[in-house]
Amino acid sequence: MKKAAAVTLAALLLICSACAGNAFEFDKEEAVSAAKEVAELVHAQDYEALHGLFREDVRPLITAEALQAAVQPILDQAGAFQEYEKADAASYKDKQYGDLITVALKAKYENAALTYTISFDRDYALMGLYIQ
Amino acid sequence: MPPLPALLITLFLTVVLPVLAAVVLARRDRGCLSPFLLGAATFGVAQYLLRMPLLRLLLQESLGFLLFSRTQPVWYALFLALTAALFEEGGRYLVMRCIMKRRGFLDGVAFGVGHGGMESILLIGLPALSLLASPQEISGAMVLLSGAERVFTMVIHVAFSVMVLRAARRRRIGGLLLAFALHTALNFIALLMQNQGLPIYLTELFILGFMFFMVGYLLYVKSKVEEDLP
Repeated sequence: MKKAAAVTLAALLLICSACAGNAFEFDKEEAVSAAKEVAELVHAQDYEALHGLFREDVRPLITAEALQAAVQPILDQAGAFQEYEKADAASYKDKQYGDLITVALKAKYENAALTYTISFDRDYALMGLYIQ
Repeated sequence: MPPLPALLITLFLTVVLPVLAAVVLARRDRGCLSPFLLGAATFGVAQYLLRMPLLRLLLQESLGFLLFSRTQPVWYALFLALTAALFEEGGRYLVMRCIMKRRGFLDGVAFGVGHGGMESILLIGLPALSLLASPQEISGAMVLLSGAERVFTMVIHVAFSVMVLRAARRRRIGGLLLAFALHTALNFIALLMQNQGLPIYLTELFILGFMFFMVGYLLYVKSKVEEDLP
């Protein structure tokens, strides 16, 4: 039953993925490289610089202190950064913010693997950062 | 912590009410206890042991799926709605065809109370219990709304259970497909309404309306059952 459930889920996923292409063309390597720059600032625990990367209209929505409070416990638990494992990116149109590129970046740490979900606008200004 | 009266009412609606409903059904017919427990177990297996761990695994292991969930909210909502309907209605049908021996109207009701009751306890009841010790300020109206929603969905689960049970008894797949389609539509529309940023009470009103539609179905089936009696 578990096998059948997994196969059905995978088939549905394929159908949905087929329906969901990129909203506009973009350079995937450039997007991944921009995401790694964001991750490097996280590793350096430079929250002021990280805050400065956010686009002007998004910046007032969060403070460097709030970023630190959200990110630091995750980093402390994960331990030292070791390597990036894999990355992927997709573009889409957001109702509020327009054209966006989102990069998913998986990184290996001493005690855990973390996945960064980082969103940029077309000029690679930071629009969102999520770490899990 | 949310206001205590709101929390207590929600705990009553999500934990006590399903158990109370089971007790009332069992007092009327002791045989209803078995379908009630099977309904509860079906939700536990279909959602907690199969669907949710598989979704979590996909989100952890597949960056493509993670991106899909973040960048395609409408398609992702459809995917979530389809899988919920597939696992829950599929699980219901399998259990009713292969395990459940009694297949009367009241057994379908008991199965639905078990299924919806387990969902209500796991999704809202237990998290609401943990709010008793939470320092977080949460609006009492939101807590009450989540409790009310579980009552609506429990009634909807009762109707789906009766629908699928009739399909299992008659060995006709039409009822199962109808339950699958309605379940998908309910979840998809509710998720879309949330995605669009509509006020939460509108989503709850939609679910309430759907519940009345399903109550109409239940009354229709009940009248048919009474007509069939000698």
